[in-house]
Amino acid sequence: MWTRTWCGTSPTGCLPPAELMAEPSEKPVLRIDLCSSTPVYRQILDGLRALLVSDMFHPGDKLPTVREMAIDLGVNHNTVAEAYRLLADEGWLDLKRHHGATVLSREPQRAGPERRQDFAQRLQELAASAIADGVDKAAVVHQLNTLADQLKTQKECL
Amino acid sequence: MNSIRLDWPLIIAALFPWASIAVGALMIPRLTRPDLFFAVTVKRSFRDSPPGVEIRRQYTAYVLGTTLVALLPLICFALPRFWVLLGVLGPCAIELAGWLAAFLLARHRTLPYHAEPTAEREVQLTPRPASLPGGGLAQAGPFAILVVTCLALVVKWPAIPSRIPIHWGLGGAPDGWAAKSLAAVFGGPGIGFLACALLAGVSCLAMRGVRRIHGSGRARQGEARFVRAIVFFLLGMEYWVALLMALLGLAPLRPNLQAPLPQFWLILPCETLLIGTIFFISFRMGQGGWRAGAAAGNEVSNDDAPVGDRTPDACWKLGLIYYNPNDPAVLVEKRFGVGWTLNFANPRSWLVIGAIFLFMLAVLALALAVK
Repeated sequence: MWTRTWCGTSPTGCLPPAELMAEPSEKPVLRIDLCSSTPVYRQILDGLRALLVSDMFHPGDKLPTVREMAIDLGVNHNTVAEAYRLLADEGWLDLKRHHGATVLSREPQRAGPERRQDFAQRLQELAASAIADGVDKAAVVHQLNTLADQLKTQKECL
Repeated sequence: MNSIRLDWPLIIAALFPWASIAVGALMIPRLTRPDLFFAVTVKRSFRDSPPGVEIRRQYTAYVLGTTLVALLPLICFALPRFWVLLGVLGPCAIELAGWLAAFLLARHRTLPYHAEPTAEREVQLTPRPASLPGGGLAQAGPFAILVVTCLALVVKWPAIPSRIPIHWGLGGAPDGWAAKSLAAVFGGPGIGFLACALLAGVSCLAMRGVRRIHGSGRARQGEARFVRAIVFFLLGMEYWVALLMALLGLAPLRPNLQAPLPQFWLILPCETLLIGTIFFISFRMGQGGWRAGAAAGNEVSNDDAPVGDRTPDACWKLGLIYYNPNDPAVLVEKRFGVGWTLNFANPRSWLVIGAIFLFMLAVLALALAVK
């Protein structure tokens, strides 16, 4: 099972790669890498957001409490709390003390032209970085196409 | 020449823990996760490699040797009464000391083969169950037994004689007496109540405060089964303690106080059953339930970085005591054996230790009050 690695941060910053989505019978799983250069809170934030965007959770679903997740991941409570707080600020979660985090119904957001341009630029930079690191161009194209196919099958949630 | 009179029930009582420790010590190399070996994180394939087999062989030889040497104090049973205590405690003490030495030596020989565990962590994104297995009714049962016992003692208070038995020999005959008092009459059920509360607390911690190593797959299922099995075992312990304390607590209401307790013979078989159950769970499921899950699926190959138990080797003092200030967990999986141990660097662990200490203090205070 550890041959599939995912540091919580999706390459696209939007959706987890297809093989990392939970199987229909399985509960969603978040994976992080303590050796990654990405801060752990960021990995948790990006990983959870990716799952939330991909409809792995429904409004009213409960997430593990900060304490439970910190114990399972073996990281400080504050690290998990920070990720949850940022997701709550984005409108994804409702945080109540001793009751964990509840997934909220989030209104679709409208991004302005600046945000779209920023996204396009980051995507280009990410692809360029991957190619510079030796990832095959065909693999990058394939991954982008896979992502596009996934997005088409999902309802509008951003 | 005087013939030697041997106290056979006492000898059996001494041999029972001796045999249990021996079996436990011999099973230890198997009662651990496959990528842990004598409390050191190693590659999964190390266990069956030539150095791994050699370390295990030497450990087994030392344990067997110590187990035989530990029988020597049994000759104290042929000596005057004063020495008998040495005969009871001696085998276990020698065995434990020998096992510790064998374990530390095996660990020392394993350390050069230490493998760095994977830095990847995973968590299943579902909250833990809010209630304990068996439900509230089953969990309340032991406390109900003790409450009913206390109520019966209150109702029958006038019928309780002025001198009551408070201690029984191995044959079930009373061999310790005390004057009628609140401490003497209600002490047993009270201690039972505290013990059950302590066990229930451990169950809650196990359900909610123990790290789940795997977030998915068969390994995850194995872990969940293991936790459930241990929590059910703890529930069984609670019932055992409650029934035992109820039996002893109601003893003063018997018409003939001098007569041995008829149900006393059940104690040893029940305790054997409890110890056998814990061995069975350990052997069948493996520490952390890995044998009940990942083993069948063979999800981790021998060449993968070991997963271990998500605790760094450096934080295990002598492989036995866990001290990691950066770990938020209170209970962590023991590196061998069965169940969990405390993270002594977590302040909450000291609350647990304080509760155990208070329990022992309560038992001592009760003993003094009865005296």
